[in-house]
Amino acid sequence: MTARPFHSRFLELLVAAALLGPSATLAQACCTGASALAPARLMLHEDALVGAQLRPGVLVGSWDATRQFVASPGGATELRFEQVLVGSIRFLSRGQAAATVPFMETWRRLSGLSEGGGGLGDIVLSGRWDFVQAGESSRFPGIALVAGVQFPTGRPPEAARLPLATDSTGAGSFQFSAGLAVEQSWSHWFATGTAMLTQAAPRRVGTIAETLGLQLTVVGAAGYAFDNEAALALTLTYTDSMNANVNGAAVSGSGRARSQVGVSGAIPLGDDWRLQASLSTDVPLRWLGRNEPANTALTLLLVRSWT
Amino acid sequence: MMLTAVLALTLAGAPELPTAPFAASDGKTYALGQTLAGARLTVLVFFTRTCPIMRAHDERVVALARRYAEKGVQVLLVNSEAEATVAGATKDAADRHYPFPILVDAEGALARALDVRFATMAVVFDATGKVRYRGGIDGDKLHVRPESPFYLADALDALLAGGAPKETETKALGCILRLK
Repeated sequence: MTARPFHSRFLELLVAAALLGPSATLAQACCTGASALAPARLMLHEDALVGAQLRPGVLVGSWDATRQFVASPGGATELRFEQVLVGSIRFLSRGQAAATVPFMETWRRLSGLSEGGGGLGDIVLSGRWDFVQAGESSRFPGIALVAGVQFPTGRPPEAARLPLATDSTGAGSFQFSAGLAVEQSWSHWFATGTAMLTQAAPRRVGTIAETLGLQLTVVGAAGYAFDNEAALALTLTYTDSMNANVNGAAVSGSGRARSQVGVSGAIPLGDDWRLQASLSTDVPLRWLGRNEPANTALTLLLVRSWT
Repeated sequence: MMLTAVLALTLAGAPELPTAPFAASDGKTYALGQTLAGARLTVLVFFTRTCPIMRAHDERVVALARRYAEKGVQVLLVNSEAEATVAGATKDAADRHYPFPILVDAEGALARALDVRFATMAVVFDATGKVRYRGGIDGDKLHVRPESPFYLADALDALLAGGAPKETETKALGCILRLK
């Protein structure tokens, strides 16, 4: 089975953020709080947005198949720097469609070798339909259907030309996601929960036909929206997937899992601009991951919106 | 096209308003039919106590109410949220120095009748109960700018001059109403 590169996990999390991004609704859903966690999500009244995101990150270790966490060995280093262009547009009042276009650079040092590479990553198109908007009803929370497609526009690991594969920027197959998001607010506090399933399309590498297992992503978040329009939230993300399938047979022990914790915030810069930031890290503890790299990353996103 | 038709119907006719009187922050009750007939124009502005956009527009609404009062325009706020109470409205009106009452519509009947979903949404009625304008106070959200289009005032000016507002329907950019 082809090893899953670090960046493909980043892309999945990017998809999750775009799709699941909880809306930090204020006591009244209106303001910057709604954007504290989601890079491409339109706030109430917004018709469109564009944004530029910077995301430096560092690999801190990985989990093996027995869920044992192993820190990165001395002398091994992996740094990443991603730039993501995001755009969203509203349709039919309760719907929104978004696109994220990532570019990524990796610098890797291992066993005396070091190299840097990068390029266009996997483009993601996503959509969201709010059946009930958060805060709209005193009886029901906000309920939304989310869905998305990740296109294999990046370079998959097997097509890497550099020795340490730092020019690998994509997962190598389409990935389809769908899920449900709920959210609610109480005065300045808000909370949200989302569950999403992702299925990768089959891919062929040489004579090997591979299909990654069905993946479940669960995101929970809670936060506070301040009177000065800023918002702060704590997020917990857990992903777990079934075994991969290679040449028609499930590969025992190939399922993956990871747990992330993060803090996100947003500050309005007038009515049309906002700055969002988050710091997230995989939790480097045994049992909280499996067959996955662990990383820590900072995200900064500048958004221009139109109402 | 269908939306346009619906809006045109809304603006052309007199909507079916709740007949039950609304208690208000000033201790009185307001029967809408009678209230609308008592002024040349009536502006209902939908209010929520915690909406920062509403708060950002407080000064502008108060100034508008004072400016147009002598021209026969009355301004009333409406709290249609599920938790609205007369005591809360009374406190809000006092705390925020409103020179106009806040009507309590805790059942959300008025908001539903007028298809209002957001705070700061303004609906202008003539004395016969016809809706002549519905939409935002202006084009701003949290940061009220002097140069922003003042849709509500423009509509009132046009109606008081005997004409029709240039824009009869605009976007209200306030907080979502939490209805019962």
